[in-house]
Amino acid sequence: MKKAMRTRLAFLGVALATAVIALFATRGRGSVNTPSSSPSAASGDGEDLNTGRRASLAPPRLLAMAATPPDAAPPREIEESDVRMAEFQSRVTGLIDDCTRKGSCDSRQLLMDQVGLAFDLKLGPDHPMRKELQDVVGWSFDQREAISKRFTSKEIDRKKLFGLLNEHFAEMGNRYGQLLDDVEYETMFGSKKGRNPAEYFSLTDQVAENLDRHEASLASNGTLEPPPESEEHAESLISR
Amino acid sequence: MHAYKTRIMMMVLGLSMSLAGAANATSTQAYKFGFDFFSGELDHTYFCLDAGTACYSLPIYGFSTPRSGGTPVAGTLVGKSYHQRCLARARASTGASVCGAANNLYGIEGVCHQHTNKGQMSMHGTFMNPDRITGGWSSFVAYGPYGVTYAATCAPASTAQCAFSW
Repeated sequence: MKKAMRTRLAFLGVALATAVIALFATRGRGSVNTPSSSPSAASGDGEDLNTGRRASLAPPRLLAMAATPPDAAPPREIEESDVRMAEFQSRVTGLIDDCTRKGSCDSRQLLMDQVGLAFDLKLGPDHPMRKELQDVVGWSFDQREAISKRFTSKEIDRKKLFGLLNEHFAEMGNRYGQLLDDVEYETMFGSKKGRNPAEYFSLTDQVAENLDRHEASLASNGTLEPPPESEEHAESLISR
Repeated sequence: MHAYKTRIMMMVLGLSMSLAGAANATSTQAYKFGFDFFSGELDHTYFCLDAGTACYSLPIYGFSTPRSGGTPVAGTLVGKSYHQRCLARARASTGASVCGAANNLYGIEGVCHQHTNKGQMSMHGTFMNPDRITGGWSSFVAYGPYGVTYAATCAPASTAQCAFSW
């Protein structure tokens, strides 16, 4: 009799502990702010915080959806795009992990592989110009490395650097434009063919001056970032 | 013997519970701040730790560079260790570290999107969805998610820098 009672108590304890663990696990996964406190809470990217580097293929929003009744299911296309993005993010992260693990990572090849996955996501893996598109990535990498060396050797100043980069990116956009039709280009870049991709990068004279000023301030004042924190301070934030 | 096994199981579960509880208190969030430049729009991005109290933004727009007031790109996400905080700070540094802005040439290595992604990925393992950032795919195609030499230089250096607390 006593043994049966003990067994029952043990089962009850295990069930209770499991429920509490499940509660903690849910709190730690993905978005933690309540929907009412942030407009973005319902737009998580599918990052899984508890598993570290690998993104979960089921974003927080989808996990929430799984708990809703079938008749309240959201439109299917939203689920598919989120899952595809999560898979894309996971595969890109995997490429980086593999490259880092090797010890000597080929940055040029890695960039070509990463952007190749982006082409696959946006244009489909069977696009007839896939290889040519990837070749543009490699060409652009080489061109920018040559431009970078002119700056780091002090042959050119930052304003000239930005001018050369603006010209380069305009040419890069043209090369992609020759390989993609108008719809494909807009699908890939989110902008019209003919627009210089560098327009999104703020490579202006004013930004060049600001960065020069920042570097000068580093030499005299340290950094402009928040003051360094002690390990004790960080630990107190984490265990709060 | 059965009761002994049950006790051990419950001890393990209890330990898991305390670990799970301790893992829930430091947060990070990526923000975007829209600008009208040239003939169109672009998104400047930055990231913050701990509910916006420690923000990291490249100083490309001078001392008025937005590091608050932006729109969250995704929900607030939680890291779980000092190691992750250390990595986030090291990788998003605007100082002279291997990952810092001084050694990561703006326009060559990446732009603010890559800078933000480096901070974000350190806390929860991945980058912002480029669909949610104006110019996000242009910068991804040019620089990748974290910058051109991130995997070769910044990732190993910052991991070594933060290894003492792992």
